[in-house]
Amino acid sequence: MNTSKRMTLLAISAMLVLAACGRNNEPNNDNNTTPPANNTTPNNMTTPNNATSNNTAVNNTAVNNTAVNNTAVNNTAVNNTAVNNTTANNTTVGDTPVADPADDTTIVTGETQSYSFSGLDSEQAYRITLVVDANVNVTDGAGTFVDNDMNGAADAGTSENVALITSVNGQGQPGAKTVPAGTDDPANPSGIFPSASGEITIEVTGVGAGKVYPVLYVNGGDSTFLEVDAGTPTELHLVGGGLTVEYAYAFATEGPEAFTRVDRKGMPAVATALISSKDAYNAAGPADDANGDFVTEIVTSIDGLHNALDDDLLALGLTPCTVVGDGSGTCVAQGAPLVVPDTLKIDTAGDAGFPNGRRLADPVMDVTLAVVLLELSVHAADTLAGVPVNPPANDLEFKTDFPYLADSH
Amino acid sequence: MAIRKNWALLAALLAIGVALGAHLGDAPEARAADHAEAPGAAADPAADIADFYAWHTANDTLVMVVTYAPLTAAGGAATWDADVLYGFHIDTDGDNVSDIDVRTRFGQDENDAWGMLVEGIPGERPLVGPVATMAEGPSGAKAWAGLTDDPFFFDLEGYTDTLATGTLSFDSTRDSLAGTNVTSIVVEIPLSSLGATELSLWATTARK
Repeated sequence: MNTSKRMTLLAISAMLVLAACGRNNEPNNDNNTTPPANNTTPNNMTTPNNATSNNTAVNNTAVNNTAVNNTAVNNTAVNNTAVNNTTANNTTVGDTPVADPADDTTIVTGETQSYSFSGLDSEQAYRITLVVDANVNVTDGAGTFVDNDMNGAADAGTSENVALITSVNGQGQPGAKTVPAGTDDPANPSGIFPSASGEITIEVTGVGAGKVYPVLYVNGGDSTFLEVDAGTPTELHLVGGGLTVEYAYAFATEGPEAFTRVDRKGMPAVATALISSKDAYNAAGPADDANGDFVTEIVTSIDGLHNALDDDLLALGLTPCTVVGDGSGTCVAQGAPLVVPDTLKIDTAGDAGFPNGRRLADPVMDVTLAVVLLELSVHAADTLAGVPVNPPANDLEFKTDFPYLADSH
Repeated sequence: MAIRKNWALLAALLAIGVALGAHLGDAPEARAADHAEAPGAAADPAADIADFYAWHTANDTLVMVVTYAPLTAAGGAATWDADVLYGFHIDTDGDNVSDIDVRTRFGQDENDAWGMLVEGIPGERPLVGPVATMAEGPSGAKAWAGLTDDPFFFDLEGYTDTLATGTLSFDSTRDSLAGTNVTSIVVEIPLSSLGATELSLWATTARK
């Protein structure tokens, strides 16, 4: 495909409003909040039955007492909803579950915080999910959770933007929001099994600013996720201390709205060459361009160039495109799709190369000049680049691999 | 030679209007001749975009590059500013309104070392790390920022000489930006994260 055809295609494509884009950019683990089909009756739901009778002298700590309260909450929820898991009473009783640390801690990105959950049933499969602080209210190791999508499972939120579980029971993980990842058969759930002494340890590594809570829960019930009724878990769960992750660097914390535009650029040279009200142009956006806010300036600039240069073009045997005051000439027809709006256009189905995107080595100036000055029905857009008018290549070779740019001088 | 001279003259004249991009904005001698860049941007090198590049690769990725603080001399330092927000914007549905905003910030740690934070890559966590070091996320997205050679090439000297003398002095073998540096931000993301095949892209800077 020659360049002019490609540009025509780009122009056409730019006008098309694509169908719903069906973006698949949701983090995989967001699916944690979607339970699989309710296909089985849980047969191994752990019903907390270890409330007070199992407390040993050693466990008579504040933490353990709150864990006891926690199970009381769960039992209430279970009873209120009259679900079937009150009959499931097949657990081996361990100590009262405890999370350590139970208090909040703070790390910077790249650092790791260890958690230990003890007093667990060594025969029971557990899962652990990191939940953003906005989605959980924690009281003494127990939580109530946000369930915005009303699917009966706690919403973890985008905790993967804050921290990831990078080790479980001493085994390194790729970095997960939930361990184990994925779903399974609720009737025969997989999960993390505690050691013989009833302990699970994890390591959580900070990746971004925010706060998350590690939530351990029994992998049972209708789904592999923490099931909730009106936000209150119906499964045994235990919330560790909150983990605040900070950046090691002092980045500005304000949102984009707190910043004032200074510059913008899409196509090379458009703002510089063809726009006279540069500050207004920099403050505007492509939608303003497409609205025609700057078309008059662009037509005037192109007109001026042609007044000065058409003699030279003709003397060189080249056919200039035509400029008409009302913008109906061929210069505007062929140039406008390229420079209005001021964006780089890419059709990923086509070959890369200006004006289908802009690579580092593309001779963008000569091509842009040709589009603005030459009659493209007569001359190819690479006519000037073939001379060349401008230097045809950079002074240093670009790298073939990321980050592609040549080293500094 | 007449043809060659004519070509060179043509190029020089065209350059009056078109060819310099933002590069003239930061060189006092060039600014005096050109006044090309907006007053607001030229006075603020850290927020002055020199060039914007974006292309798709055979590896089904999209690479976006913005360069700023042009004409940094050889041996000079990168330009970092914690009060500037650098944006890559991608319109995926053809309405010229950004659907994906990838934003980069810079900040210093307790030892005054600079780090970068790149947020908004679809399906990717924020990428954070020291400057001049690649940060990579689970989706395969990569980010890097640092001082580089200025990838733009143009005969600035021929342009200014031609303007000053009215006599052609253009030489297409002369790259006036050779040997100069810019500070660059490079972000590469999987095409599959974009949810579209026809893209419009632009770059912005903003200051708080």
